[in-house]
Parts: sequence; structure tokens; C-alpha cells
Amino acid sequence: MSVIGIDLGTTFSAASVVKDGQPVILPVGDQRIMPSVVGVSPDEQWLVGQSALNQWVLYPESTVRSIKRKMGSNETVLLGGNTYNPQQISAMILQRLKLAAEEHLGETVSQAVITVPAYFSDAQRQATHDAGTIAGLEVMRIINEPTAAALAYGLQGGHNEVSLIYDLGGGTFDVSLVELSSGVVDVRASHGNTHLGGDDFDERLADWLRSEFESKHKVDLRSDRQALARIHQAAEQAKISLSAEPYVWVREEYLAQKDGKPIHMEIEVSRAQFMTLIKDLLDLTLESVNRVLKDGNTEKPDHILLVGGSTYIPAVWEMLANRLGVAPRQDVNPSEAVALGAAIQGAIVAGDPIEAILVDVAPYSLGIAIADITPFGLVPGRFKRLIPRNSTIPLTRKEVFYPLHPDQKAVQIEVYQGESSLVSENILLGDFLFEDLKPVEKDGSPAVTVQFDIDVNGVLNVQAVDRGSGKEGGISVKASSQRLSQAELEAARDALPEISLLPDLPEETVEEAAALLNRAAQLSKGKDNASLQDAAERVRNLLRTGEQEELENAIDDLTDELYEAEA
Amino acid sequence: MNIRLVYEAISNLARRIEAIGDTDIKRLSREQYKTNTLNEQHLEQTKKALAQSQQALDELKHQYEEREKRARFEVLTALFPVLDSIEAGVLSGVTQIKTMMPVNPEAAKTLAAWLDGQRLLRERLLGILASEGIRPLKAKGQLFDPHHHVAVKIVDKPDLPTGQIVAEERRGYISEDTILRYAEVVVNKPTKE
Repeated sequence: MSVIGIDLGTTFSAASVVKDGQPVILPVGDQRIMPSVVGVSPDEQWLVGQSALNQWVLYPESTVRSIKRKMGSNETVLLGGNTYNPQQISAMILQRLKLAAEEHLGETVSQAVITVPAYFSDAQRQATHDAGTIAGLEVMRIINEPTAAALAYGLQGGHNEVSLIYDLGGGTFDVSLVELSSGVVDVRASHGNTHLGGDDFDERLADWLRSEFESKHKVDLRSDRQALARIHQAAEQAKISLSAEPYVWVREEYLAQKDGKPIHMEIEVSRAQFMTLIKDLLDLTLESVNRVLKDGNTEKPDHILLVGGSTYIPAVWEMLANRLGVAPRQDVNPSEAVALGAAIQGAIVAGDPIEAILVDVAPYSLGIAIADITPFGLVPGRFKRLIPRNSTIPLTRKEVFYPLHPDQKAVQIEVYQGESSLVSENILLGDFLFEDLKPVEKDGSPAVTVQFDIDVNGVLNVQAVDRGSGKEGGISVKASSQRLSQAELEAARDALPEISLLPDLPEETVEEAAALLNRAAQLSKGKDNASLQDAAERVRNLLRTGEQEELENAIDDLTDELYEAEA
Repeated sequence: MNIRLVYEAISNLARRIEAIGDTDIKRLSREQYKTNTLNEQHLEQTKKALAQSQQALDELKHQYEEREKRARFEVLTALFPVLDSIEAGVLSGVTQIKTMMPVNPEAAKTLAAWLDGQRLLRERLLGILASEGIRPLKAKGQLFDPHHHVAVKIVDKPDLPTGQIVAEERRGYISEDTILRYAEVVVNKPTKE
């Protein structure tokens, strides 16, 4: 019977299980994550997940959101005329996930590992445990979310390593410093902000788009709920696109009316503009990082693990890499890392075999040579990273670059692989000359969009597009790729001395012995046959010691016993 | 001739032949048993491997079909915002025609003809969706259903039943029993006195 892992989140929850050695998400319907919302419809139907969220505006008095914030407290909620404590509400969420798991697995699910934030008190943990029990689950473990993330990333300890877990979700931010030592995980320090997340980034961008629209059209949309909702959705999409694209067009047709005529939104947003809008929020997270490092007496962690959908933003990776000098990892899906880690803990508890999550990653950073303009002058030979090390592949990334002089008609694009900020210390993969550049605007400077496209085989296609003329050019180079399985490598290394100590017996003899032992086990089931069991034990012992002649005699004896037993 | 001696010789010979036969028969039987056991094991392993391969193949086929279906749906659901905009354009055009007709009937008629083209474009796109089993969700006039609709606004119309959808802000779509996009609706909820 499987032990499932559950990430019981404030806004969303997810369940997963280890299947054939790999943790997989258990979808609820068609969705991989489920809103953590419970409600009652007017006809007294219980609603859990998306259906409950759908009625929030209509029946807020019959809908409960973010119950996690109340866990461990004595607060109660009124639903459908009855009073419920937070454990009971959470139990409904857990029950829905349990049902989804059973539908997917085709078997009863009765055991689970559930995650909680590192800062949860004993009362909050107990309440979570109780919720599981109410839901009909035997809660095998309550584990910390950063611990689960560490497990998902394959860090099971053994080397006294310190990891920084940076968890930036939709509505909350948590950062923890965990130490892994001989399979034990200790949370040294944690900090966070329960009201800071990707939703705030969407809000900033939406507000900027609205004000840009107002500047252009002199139309104030602040009282137009429908237009604001569309702008908000567009902002969320643009934020996601800006992780891969340096510029994104936001287009919303027929957004409003002016003087009886329809007006549309058509605004180009740059990644740089977006970064300006959210810089102060990212700086707040960095303050928490500094605080956690200080509280945990660490200057530089061994690993930085990224958790939460908002960590896809490239600026998050760069901010942490620059601050700590360590390349953050995001080879595990950040939105699912906690749930996957909970499943791995479940498999460990159940004694099931687990493989590390296997992903294809770029083992080295990839970028181009640029010149930096500094207060001290021009510094050539600098490395501008487009694809960071350990990024999951296949992957596409773009950046816009400008020639040194506005009148420049050509640029040399040199593609490098490595971690140094100087190209001279990295490996040149290839280069090409991109000519006939045109200015983007009259009397302006040319601009070139460079796109890196790496496939699972490590083939990197580099394409340059002149933003002035639309002309394209590029090359394909072979970069390194790696199938990452840390635990597999370590296990293979550890196994080597054992392999050399195994007895050097002929394969046929070993195969023969195995077949006869198998038969002996079948015949011994429910029967007491001392001489058969003794003969089998003798063969097993001699397989270990490797004495071939004695083994062959023992095999003959076992055969005779089997013959007699079957007669 | 001493018959007793001959008998003894024959008996000894018979015993020796019996002893040799027993040993060889025993040896051959043992070998046969080992071979049979090994062969049975191989057969079991082969059967198990075949069953596992078949299972893996079935699983792969199912995953492939699911992935293909998901990929098709991803492309088709990208048409939803396009349809939204065409419908918004048609609505906007209708308003413009009403404004223009008294002032410039010829221009209004031209616009109406152009708008008809947009309407046909809309029908064409809906046809593409329908061919893949995707259809719009019923909303206006229906009772709110949280499994199909998202309430985005409430209105107070005492003459209508509570929970009745009075307007649709964004159309929803469904394929068989799968909601591809919930309909965003305005729902009536009269203030209780």
C-alpha cells in the first residue's frame, strides 16, 4: 500500500506518490494542484477545491479560504449552519486529495506524510496531524516544507551540508537554512513573509499597465471591474512570458470605450521594466535571506534550492547567485518540489525503493561575450549568462543586446560555456558575425535579440535577430548535457568496493543455485521440512563464501531433497 | 562345475551392475531435475517480462494518447481569448452601427456588412472547436453552478431568483465532462430584508 505525500498549502494543495521509484504528482481531476478552499452550496452540497473557489464572490459566508492561517488556534468557522474548527476544514481538503489519489492509483490510500512550514508551532503541527486523522489517514510523519524540498532535490544527507531553501509562492514567502547530516535534517533558521508573493508582482505590473493606458488614452479604468480583471489576467501572463522573453506585448482588444468608440490596450513591457516594478519586493526577500544566514551562523550555504512558482523569474536566480556566490538549483519543478519531497519521505517510511528525480539539465552556464560599461570605462571580455547552470532542458532564453557604438553595422557573437564572469576562463563553443544592422528607430541605435535554444541532447541553437530589420542569423553548437541522478552516482561509487568483494563464482552455478532456492522456498511454504530447509541454508551460506566445489555438492544435496519433496 | 561359485559370481556381477546403474540413474535424474527447475524458472521470468512489457506498452500508448489529446486541447484553448475579442468586436460594432445609422446610413451599412464577416469568422472558429468536441457552456439565464461557473459579480434584482445568472462576462467551454474554461458570470443575489 502506498504512502502518499501531501503539500497542504495556504492557497493551493497537492498530493504525490512514489511510483516505480519516481515521485509523481497525483492530479485532482485535470489539475495538478487544488485550491485550498472549502464551501457549502445553497443546496447543501459540500464543495472542495476549484468548485468552492468559484462561489467565493457569490457566497463568501459559505466559503472558507486560507484555513491554514488558523491552524492551531481556537477559532472556528460557520459553514452551512454548523461550526467547524480549522482541523475539520483542513480534513475536507485532505479527504479530497485522498480520494483523488485512490482514483488515480486504483487502490485504497490510508497513510500519508503531510508537510508544514518550518515555523509551525507544536499546536499547529498537532492540528495538522489531527486533520489527517479526521480525513481517514494515518499520518506517518509531519515534515517541514524545506525538508521536503531538500528531499525532492535529492539531498538526503550524509555530508553535513547546509542548504538555503528559498520558497516564493503566490501569496507567501519563506526562507530556511537546513542542515543535512547522516539522513537527519535540522532546520537551523527560518524567516519569511506571509503576505508577499507572486500575486504582489502581478498587482504591480497590472497597476503599471493601467496607468500607462490612462496616460495614453486619458481613460481611468479604476472603477471598471471587468477591465481591471482583464488587465490583471494579462499582467499574470506577461509576468510568466517575461521569464523567457526580454520584451512582451500586452494586447487587450476592446478594453474600454471613449467617446463611444472602442479603445484597446497595446503596450510593450520589458523585463527590465518589470524588474524595476518589483525590485523593492525582491529586496525584502533578500533581507530575510540575510537574516536567516545570520541566525544560522552561515555565510555561504552549500546549496540554494528554489521552491515556488515565482522563482521562475530570472531576477530571483541572479539576485541569489550574486549575493551568495552559489548557483541556485531549480532542476526540480519549483511549484511541485514540496509535494514530491513529501512523497519521497512517504516512500522512505514505507521502505520502498526510490530513485532520485531524474532530469536533464545544462551542467554548465551558457552565454555570450559582452563588454560592460563601468564607471572605470569599458570592460571587454565579460561573460553574460543566458542559461544558468542546472537549468532543466530543453529550454529557450532570450536577451536583447546593443552594439558599443550607435553607428555599428555588425557584431561578433561569441558563445561560451562556463561559470567564470570572464570569457577567457570559459570555453568557447562557437561564434559568428552578424552584419547589416539597422537602427530600431530613426537616428537610434541597433538592437539585437539573441536567443539560446538548448534541446535534451545538448544541441544549442543560437539565433540573432536584428530588431531594426528583422534579419536573422545564427549557429548550432554542441553543449554538454547531463542526466542528473546524484543518489545513483553515489550509490554506484559506494557499491564499487562491495562488487570487488563478491565471490568469483561461475554464472551458471549461481543461476542454478538461485533457481533451486526459489523452488525450495515455494515447496517450504506452509510445510515443515527441516532437511530441505537445512539443504537450502547450506547453499545460501556457500554462495556467500564462494567455495565452488562445496557449493556444487550442496546444490546436488538440495536437488535430492527437492526431488524427494516433490515425489 | 561348481554351480554355487557361478551363482555367486553372477550375484556379485548383478550387484555391481545394480550399484553402477543406481549411481548413474541417480546422477542423471538429478541433472534432469536441475535442468527442469532452471527451465521452469526461465519460462516464468520470460512470461513475467512479457507481461510487464505488454503493461508498459499499454501504459505508453495510453500516455501518448493522453499527451496528444492534451497538446491538441492546449492549442485549441488558445483560441478562447481570440473568440472573446471577436465577440467584443462584434458587440462594439453593433453599438457603432446604431450610433451611425441616423447620421450616415451608407457608412453604417458598410460597417454592418464588414461586421457580418466577423460574425462568420466567429462561427468558423466555433466550428473548429465543435469538431474537437468543445462547446460553449450555457450561462445566461441558468442557475449558478460552481462546477461550471465562476461568480465574478453579484447584482440585486429582487424580481429574479437567487442564484440566477444575469450576464456572462467571459464565456466558458466544456469538452465532454471536462471544463476547459469556467464561465465568468454575474449572478443575482437579492439583499434579504
